[in-house]
Amino acid sequence: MGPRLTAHGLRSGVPAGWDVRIECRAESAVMAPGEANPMGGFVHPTLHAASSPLPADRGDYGSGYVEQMGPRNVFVCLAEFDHEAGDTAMFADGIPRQLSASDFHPDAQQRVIAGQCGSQRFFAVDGRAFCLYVVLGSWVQRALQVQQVNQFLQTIDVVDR
Amino acid sequence: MSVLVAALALVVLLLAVLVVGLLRSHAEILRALHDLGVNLEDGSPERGPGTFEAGTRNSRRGVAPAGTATEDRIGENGMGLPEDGPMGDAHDLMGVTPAGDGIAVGVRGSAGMTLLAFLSSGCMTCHDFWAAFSEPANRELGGAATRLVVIAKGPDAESPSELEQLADPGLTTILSSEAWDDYSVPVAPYFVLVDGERSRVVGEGAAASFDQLGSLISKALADAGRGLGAARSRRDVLRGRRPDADEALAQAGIEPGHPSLHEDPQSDRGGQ
Repeated sequence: MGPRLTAHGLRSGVPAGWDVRIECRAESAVMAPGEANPMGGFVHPTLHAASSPLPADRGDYGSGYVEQMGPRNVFVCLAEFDHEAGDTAMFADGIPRQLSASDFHPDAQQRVIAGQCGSQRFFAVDGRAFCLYVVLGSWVQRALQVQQVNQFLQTIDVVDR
Repeated sequence: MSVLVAALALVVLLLAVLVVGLLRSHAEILRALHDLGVNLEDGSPERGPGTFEAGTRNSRRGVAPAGTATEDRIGENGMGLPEDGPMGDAHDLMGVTPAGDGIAVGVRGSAGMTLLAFLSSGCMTCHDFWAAFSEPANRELGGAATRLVVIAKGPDAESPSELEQLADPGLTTILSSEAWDDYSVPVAPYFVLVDGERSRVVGEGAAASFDQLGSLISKALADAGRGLGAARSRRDVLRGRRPDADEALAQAGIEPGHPSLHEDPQSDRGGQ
């Protein structure tokens, strides 16, 4: 087993030459009016993994990276949601480990980028709710690239914080 | 007699043209060497305290003998010295950020060059680099295709809160004592230039200031055939012609209409 990165209750393998980040954005210091929650709600961990260098400044779903990724690159994003979401029907049980080429479509991207395609799944593990968002650098080569993604998905675990 | 004089005059004229041509060629070569950082003039300044070495370390000054222990590779001026011998393999990086997030950076097999800057929160020389790297433009020392990663020792040997103050959020910063061991770093500040495609170190050493580091990196990239002028023709090099902005961007893979020229990378911040 290769090196593994663990932070904020998430763990993943680190394929050779890949960049991986497990981050938790800082909470807003401003409280929402009349509530005990910070403005913008509580922030949750995100895991970003890519087969080429990730810039330090990225959006939650990879903006800042996906625009510059090459046709041979893949991007995997795991974004955690509020716990309550895990009880809804939209969130299936368990981490999706096996995506297929037919799961991807150019229109499934957060913002459509010509030549690329995306896929989105919602799931829950031990009451923690997540969105898995994957972008492939090439719609034409999706059958090959999804294999890279599946190998990485095998290494992801949700662990104690 | 007049024919002989005319023939001699013609020969002298041809020789004069030849000498002028040779002098011009010599001047162009000197100019090209000067552009690449080589100064052959008498009284040219001695090399500064920087010890950055590129390509091979053999027969170069500012290099510790082979087999010197890492902690002993420190010069008289207190700067780190590379070890004599062939450059080593590149290593991927893994650690935490000053904010406590998990981070892994793939160096081996990546496209382009990666400049690893080993800094600490304590050394005064490092503060010059921390300040310089807070400016995004200063992170592209070797051009847009060269990536900068700053590496401090792990949380057991560093103060993450102090590093959080020093490291700009836009700077890729890793706390990893393992990386210091992997790259045999003697003391901060220390810099390692890695060719990702070959997964090899192509230059390493210390520099006393950010300005000096910039010129040393440019020279190391040129030695490795990866500088901005790497794609220049022999004619361009000898004529001292440098690529214009469009050519430099094209060499970095940024063509007209490239999304990075138009997109706002923060547009989906907090978009859960």
